[in-house]
Amino acid sequence: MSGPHAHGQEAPEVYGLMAEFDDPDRLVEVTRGAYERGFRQMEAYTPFPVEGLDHALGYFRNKVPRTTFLGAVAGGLSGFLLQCWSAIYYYPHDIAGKPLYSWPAFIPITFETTVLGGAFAAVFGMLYFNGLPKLYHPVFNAPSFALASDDRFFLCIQSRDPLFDPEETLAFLETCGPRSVSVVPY
Amino acid sequence: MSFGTADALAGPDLNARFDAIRSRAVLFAAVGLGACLLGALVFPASFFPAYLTAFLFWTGISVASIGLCFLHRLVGGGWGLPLRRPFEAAGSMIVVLAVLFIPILLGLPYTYPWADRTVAEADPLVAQKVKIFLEPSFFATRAAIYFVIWALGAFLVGSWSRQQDRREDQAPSRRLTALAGPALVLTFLSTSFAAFDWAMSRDPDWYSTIYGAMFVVGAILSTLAFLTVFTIQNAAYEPVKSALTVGRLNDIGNLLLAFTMLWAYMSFSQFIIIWMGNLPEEVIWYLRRTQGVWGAVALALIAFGFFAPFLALLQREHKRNAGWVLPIASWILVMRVVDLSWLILPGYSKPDEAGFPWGSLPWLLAALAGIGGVWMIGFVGRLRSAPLIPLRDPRILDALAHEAAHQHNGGAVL
Repeated sequence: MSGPHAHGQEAPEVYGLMAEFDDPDRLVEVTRGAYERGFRQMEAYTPFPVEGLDHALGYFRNKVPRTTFLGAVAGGLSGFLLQCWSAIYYYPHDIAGKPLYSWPAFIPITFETTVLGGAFAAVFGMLYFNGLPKLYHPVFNAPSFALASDDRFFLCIQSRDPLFDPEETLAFLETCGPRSVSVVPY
Repeated sequence: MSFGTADALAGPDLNARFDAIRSRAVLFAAVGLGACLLGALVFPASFFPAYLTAFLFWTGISVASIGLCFLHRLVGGGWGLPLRRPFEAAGSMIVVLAVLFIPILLGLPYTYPWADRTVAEADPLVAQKVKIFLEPSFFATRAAIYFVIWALGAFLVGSWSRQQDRREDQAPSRRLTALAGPALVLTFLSTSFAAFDWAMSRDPDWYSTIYGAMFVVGAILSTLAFLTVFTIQNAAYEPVKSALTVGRLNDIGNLLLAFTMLWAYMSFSQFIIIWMGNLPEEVIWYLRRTQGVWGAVALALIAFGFFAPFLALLQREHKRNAGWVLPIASWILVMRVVDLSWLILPGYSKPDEAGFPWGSLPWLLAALAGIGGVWMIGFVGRLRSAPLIPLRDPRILDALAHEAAHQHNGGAVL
């Protein structure tokens, strides 16, 4: 809470300001406007995935695809090597007179472990990067926030944003035509 | 955004480009077919298998286009916006291909081992098949039936789609919706049978039930790749420019990825079952295709036909960038020709004695250019005679309405 905004230090117990909208397109528009004003520490909450909201919030790079790819490669390699090890060293067995190293027979399992590794990496990578599950989150202190899983669209500008100022930010959000703007306490 | 009649027609720039494509196609057709005539008369044994390969490449594109029109009618989606009219135009070229099938009937003994009397006499398995199923007149009758089915499908899908352009009510689209489901099934079955007849019977001592599906998936991949290349190359001009947005290019990239994977899945499914069973009458097909140079081709298909486009298309940034999609789709197209050659050319050869058919390669290029030139002349002519985006097609309007509601992402032109 350093910088020119002295107000920030007076209210450290505030998590942020939450604006509530009726319409997903309006939310994206406002979010883009907030991003252009320089806000970075903000998050949006919607009942369904809204196309374009990620870019409006400034999420251009996502680490999950790369994690998924690495997980898939690791899964495929370990599946293939496991079969090589068991078929060649651990339990060599003559199957239909085929050589012990019969790679075509290993491909279906390799495919499956590739998918498995990719799926695990996608799910757990996603959970790691987005910080879920969380036992407590201040946004639930905002009134009527439960409607974020029904038909309302929320934008929360957090107090840790260097540009955050309780009055100015509130005034900015008020100009965006929200249903309401509320203070989110910790 | 939506398209009116005036701005959906090819503008002067695009028409000039179509003229240029047309004059190049005329040159290709003249030189290619001239070379084909020479090949057919002087070197029939190496010419006809190559001609068959090129014929199947272009026929696959036309037939899969008809099927994709029906599919888009059923499922909709923004990817159809830049591709629907090219699909319809490509589908209508099946009539031209029916004429180009005649040389195959004329050169039947050079095209198919079973049509060679000495082969049938030496091989009892082939002799059995030639008695009924591969009897030349029955073979020709079946070919005629396939062409009638496809030509009818292409005619209905093309003319009803164009009627819809001029009418406010949705009657032609409703008719097309009623037709699309059964017609899609019929198109798939007839193409599958045509693959058995025209491609699989190059090895008359062998059979595989997945072959038809494998051929169809490959043909769909060729179609998507070819029309993607065509569309991107015209993307600088209206109305293609506003039809091919980043979001739709992404969809097309996903389709290319999906069909690359499906093609690999089908090809490997056939291989693993035959490899596991290890029966002499089944493995012979792979022995013919994995010895010598053909073995290198088989490995190249795995590495460059599957892994290269697969890995390149995994990244979202690549699929959203025409600078990536264009070379990837062109590369897929090259590998489609290699795959078809690998399926057709080694047919019924003796694995250890037969060398690589180098003599067929120039005829393959000549036939690809000759048939492709004729195909392209008709295709461009058909395409430019109507708006390049269907005007009142409900599937297209749905896609436009959906994208208008979510214009934040992917709506940008390339």
